[in-house]
Amino acid sequence: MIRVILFSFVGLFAFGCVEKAVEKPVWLNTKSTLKVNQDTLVFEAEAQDWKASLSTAVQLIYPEIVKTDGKILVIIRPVKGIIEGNAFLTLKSGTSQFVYPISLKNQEEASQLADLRSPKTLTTDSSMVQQQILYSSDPSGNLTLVNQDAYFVEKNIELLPKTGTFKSITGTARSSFYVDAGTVREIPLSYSKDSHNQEITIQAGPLVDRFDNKIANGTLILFHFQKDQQHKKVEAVVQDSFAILSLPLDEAEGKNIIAQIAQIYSQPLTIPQQ
Amino acid sequence: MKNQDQVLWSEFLGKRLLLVALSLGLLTHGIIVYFTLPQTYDAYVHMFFADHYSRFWFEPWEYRWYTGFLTISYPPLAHQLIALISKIFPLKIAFSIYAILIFEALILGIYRFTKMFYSKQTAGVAAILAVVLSSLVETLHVYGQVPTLTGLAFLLNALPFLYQYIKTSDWRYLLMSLAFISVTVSSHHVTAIFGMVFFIAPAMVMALVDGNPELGKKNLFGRFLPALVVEVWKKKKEILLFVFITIFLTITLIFPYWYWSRTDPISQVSIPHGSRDNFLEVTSSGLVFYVIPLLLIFALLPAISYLITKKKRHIGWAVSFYVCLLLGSGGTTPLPKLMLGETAFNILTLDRFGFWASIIAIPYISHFLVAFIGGSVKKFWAGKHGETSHFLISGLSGFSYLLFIIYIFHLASFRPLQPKAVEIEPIINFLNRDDHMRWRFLTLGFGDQMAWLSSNTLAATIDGNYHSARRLPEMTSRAVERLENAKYLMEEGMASLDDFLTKAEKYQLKYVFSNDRYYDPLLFYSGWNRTIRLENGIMVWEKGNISTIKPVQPTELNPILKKMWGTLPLSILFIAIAMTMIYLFYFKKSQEELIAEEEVSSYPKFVIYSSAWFPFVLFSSFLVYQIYEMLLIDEQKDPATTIYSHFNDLDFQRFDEAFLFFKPGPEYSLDQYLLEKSVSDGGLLPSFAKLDKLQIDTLKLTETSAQMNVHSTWRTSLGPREKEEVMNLERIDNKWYINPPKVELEIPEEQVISYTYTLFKKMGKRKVSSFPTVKDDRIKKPFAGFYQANLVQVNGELRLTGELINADNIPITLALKAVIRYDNDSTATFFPKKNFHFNLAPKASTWFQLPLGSQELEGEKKIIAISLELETDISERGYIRGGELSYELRAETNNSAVFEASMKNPFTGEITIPGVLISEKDSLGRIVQVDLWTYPKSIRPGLESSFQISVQKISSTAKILDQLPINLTINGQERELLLKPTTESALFQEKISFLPHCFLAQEIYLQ
Repeated sequence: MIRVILFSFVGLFAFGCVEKAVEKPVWLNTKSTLKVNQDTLVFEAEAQDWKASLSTAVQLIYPEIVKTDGKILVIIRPVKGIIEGNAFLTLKSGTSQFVYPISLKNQEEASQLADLRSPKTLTTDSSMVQQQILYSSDPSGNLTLVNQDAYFVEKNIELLPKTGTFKSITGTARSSFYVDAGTVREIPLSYSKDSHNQEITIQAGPLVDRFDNKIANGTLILFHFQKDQQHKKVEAVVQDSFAILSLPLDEAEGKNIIAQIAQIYSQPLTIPQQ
Repeated sequence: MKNQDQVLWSEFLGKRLLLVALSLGLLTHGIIVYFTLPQTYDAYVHMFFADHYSRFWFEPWEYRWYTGFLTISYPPLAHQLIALISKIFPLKIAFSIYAILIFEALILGIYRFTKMFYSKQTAGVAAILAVVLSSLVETLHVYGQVPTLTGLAFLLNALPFLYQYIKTSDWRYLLMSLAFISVTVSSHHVTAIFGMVFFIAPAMVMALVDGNPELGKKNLFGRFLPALVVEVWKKKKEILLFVFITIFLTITLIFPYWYWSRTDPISQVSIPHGSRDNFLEVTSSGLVFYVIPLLLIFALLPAISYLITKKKRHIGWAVSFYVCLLLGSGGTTPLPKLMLGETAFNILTLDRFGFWASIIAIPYISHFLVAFIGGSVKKFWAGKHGETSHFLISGLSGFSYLLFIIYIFHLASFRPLQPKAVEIEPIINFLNRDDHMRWRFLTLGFGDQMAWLSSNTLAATIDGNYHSARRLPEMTSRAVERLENAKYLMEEGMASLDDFLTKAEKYQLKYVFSNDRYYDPLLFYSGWNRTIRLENGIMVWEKGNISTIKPVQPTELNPILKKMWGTLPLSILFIAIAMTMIYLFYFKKSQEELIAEEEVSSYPKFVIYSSAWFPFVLFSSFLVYQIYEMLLIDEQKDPATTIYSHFNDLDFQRFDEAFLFFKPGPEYSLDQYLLEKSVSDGGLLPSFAKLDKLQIDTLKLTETSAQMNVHSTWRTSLGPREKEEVMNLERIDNKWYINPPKVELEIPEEQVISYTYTLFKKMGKRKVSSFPTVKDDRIKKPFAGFYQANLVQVNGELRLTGELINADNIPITLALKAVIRYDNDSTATFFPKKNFHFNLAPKASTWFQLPLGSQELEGEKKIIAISLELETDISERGYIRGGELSYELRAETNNSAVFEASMKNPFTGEITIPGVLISEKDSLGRIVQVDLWTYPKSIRPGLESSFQISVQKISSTAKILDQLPINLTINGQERELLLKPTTESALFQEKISFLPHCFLAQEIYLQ
């Protein structure tokens, strides 16, 4: 009985190992970079039920397989959103699978020129020469050559010291330059009295930077009123290059007034006592 | 010995009563639990744990609270079962279903537990009693503690098996008892641990005494105890086997819990709990933790004491009962602390002992009730006083008890335990959009609903609702249960909250959902900005320049332990159920069922009379007192009470009720009062404060009039504030009334005022994309610069002071921090507190001060480098920092200066909290201190307020340390100090300067 069992096991192992191992297909036209929809991969392989899959950085793609006499052709058709670069082709037959590292390249399509630079917003206090780096990409986001041999092109743009929004060459709203006014050059102060209403209006302005640009709306201006030990601070904001402050006449009479924006101070203005 | 007919009748009646109890339980608790659970203390916490298992069954790391904690810190069975039910039903319904099921199991457990003591009929009454027992009703409907109920339900079911095992040595009972105890261990560890002492030991003693009838006849202080020891020795094999297997199972089944408590022991400051209060001093704690759960026990204490001490078989239960009753009394006497020791006393919540005492008392109460309703007591009473009086006393006692139970069901309505329900959907939507989930959030004023919010989102909060698991030093070093309810925890709570709001960057805390405006001043002055008011009225506060959540390395746990935690508890439950089935169908039928034959045929007269009258007297007195307190208390009996009551209503914003304390008359109507209030009241004290203390002194008192000095102390999020006022009262028709205050209204001259605001709008992403950032849409970091930065030493402590400016043309928010590097290469980070403008209008500047505390200037912890790092971001809309500020120096000494100041409000909304930022400079113009000063009353539009500001000068003692250079960075780039030209004007030579720093509650800028 023991012998029967023994022989049975031996027989089982002997016949169990009869199936021939699948041999790795040989890649005949080896290439470092493969272009989608253009290059075909040719493998020498015995006729088997081969399946192919391509693992890219973002998705799994199933290429087309054509079997010919002792060969298999793998054709990578264009699929939306292929990211170029390293990928792995897997050939599978039954439980055997073989992996071939490849580098993938998209077929050439119209690409959009974009720029990469910082800062996009600047004030006239800073340098008006700005660096611009241009690049282009295909619809899937793969970089494409801008010049014949470069993916990036550097340009220096000298901007005019005028405030405004300037569109860059790509023409989209998100790539505009923003030139803002710089620091105020000086703070001219003046006042006018409304005796009837017993009011005084103090005006600071026109407030412009060194290139005569109006300083930004909303800029904080601080009016200091001083007389002996008394000190009064009134904060106001600049609108259309002027800051106007109205207050009862008795609060200003006989006081020195100095306006301040950042580190720039006006000349003192003294309101005479009536 | 009863005859066979009596036994059969008792058994039949017992089972019917059990069915009645189960049905009643289903009808009462089943219907009401869904509606009471939102008001409970703990239901939402358990739902959060259930939600965790529902999402991550085998992963014990829960990242959503406290920057992460391990859920193995709480036995999982109840939570896992709710999680399983929640796969079919919504979480709240799943919790309710589970609560109902477990309550039914508990009723069954109490029925079986009582059978160890008395007949089945008594057990049936016990089952009905369980449905309406105040301690159980409170545990479910007020506390929402389903794991406790789960543990108890299975423990009580285990005890009869244990009893039978000790008595008969039948190993099948051993298996059954172990199965049920295992389920107890898997659901509530505290019940399991203390259950060993208070339930299992007495059950064993009872079985030993019942196993040898001769033992019960011996004298307690004579031969009983030695004979009991002999009996224990005889059963040593059974007892040791049970004890060892139980310990083994307790350790094995929730091994990860024990592993966690050994490797990561709780080391935090004890959190105060009402159950540890002296109930005579803190009567509200006494009511909730002692009176409500135990009033029936006190009412029937004579009967319970009589029955529990009548026979030797009850001796273990007697000890357990009285010890539990004593421990449950908390800090009323020093005994519980002496018995438990200081540490255990401060960790344990002692109400659970009272709860267990009430459970132990159930069989005795039931037995007395049976005798009272239809047994020997009834016979005695009817014979002596007639059937009618018995009917009346029974009816009145029962009716008053049921009213008492209804009161408990509605306790949350009489004494709100939680804030009003918050709709969480708008918050969930907010967290889901624009990647808000990439930062942590904090809720304020949500109560336990914060756990419900967490259950419904994957976003993480820095807070949490399970304090045993937290390990953040800012939390464990203070007696603060949650940040969420910091205002109730006095100074410690607010200090802890202040820490987190200030160090928001450390924990990537970016959003605060505020349901309580009490916190608004603190949030504002800590640099938080209002960003949006959600549809549910919740204000979202945001802090700019906060990094997204940094991955926290979870505490590693062996994968086998994870699998154990996920499978063992449920497996043991299924095993227990399977074994119960086998027991019911194959085993129970062949065994003699547990029927205790004890019958107490007569009671002493004292017990009968006291136990007949006490329930009615106590319950009706309780209810009458509650009604009196709510409706009938004379709030105007004397001047002081009148003022107390008036302030109480003011504190809870019940203005119409507060008005009733004013002297009635046509010249002062409610309309007039509310109108005057609306135009004269506002600011930190009236709108953002909670009354803390009231001291009332009599200045003048006659028969009909009084003049009182009222000194009130208020808690505000900016610290305590005090107020003193004189009130005049009159006595009319035996009631005291306050003379209405004479309000001299300031009215601006103008009929209409105007103010030009400059509002900004950050356009946000201009490309519709779910990606977090579209590169093209990135907005540059605004420009800023430092004018000065100084390291100042004052009284041995260091601080960084200075001035900086928004150099850009847009409003910005600032995030400033100081990183200090020590000689031993360690670093520490410090943030500004309230002495800083966190928002700046274009070209506005601010002073700043960062406290560095005591630092060593020599040795290993010597500072070798200081880096002052500023991050800027575009502000959402804009910023106004205050009205027109005037000030004049009135008096000055070397150490102090007094200014007369005034602020005029030119805006269209009120300045809610007028405030100024004060800076003091030394002789070289270097800032040595920056301070915040606030005024308690608001300033209405067009009006001006005057006040006096006292400044404690430090320039004579402050020392500027020049030897340590301060490295400045702005938005990650190194920067030099900006030059600030000096002017000759005396204006700019002042040593002490002010800048407005006010909070405007009106949401003009949402600042």
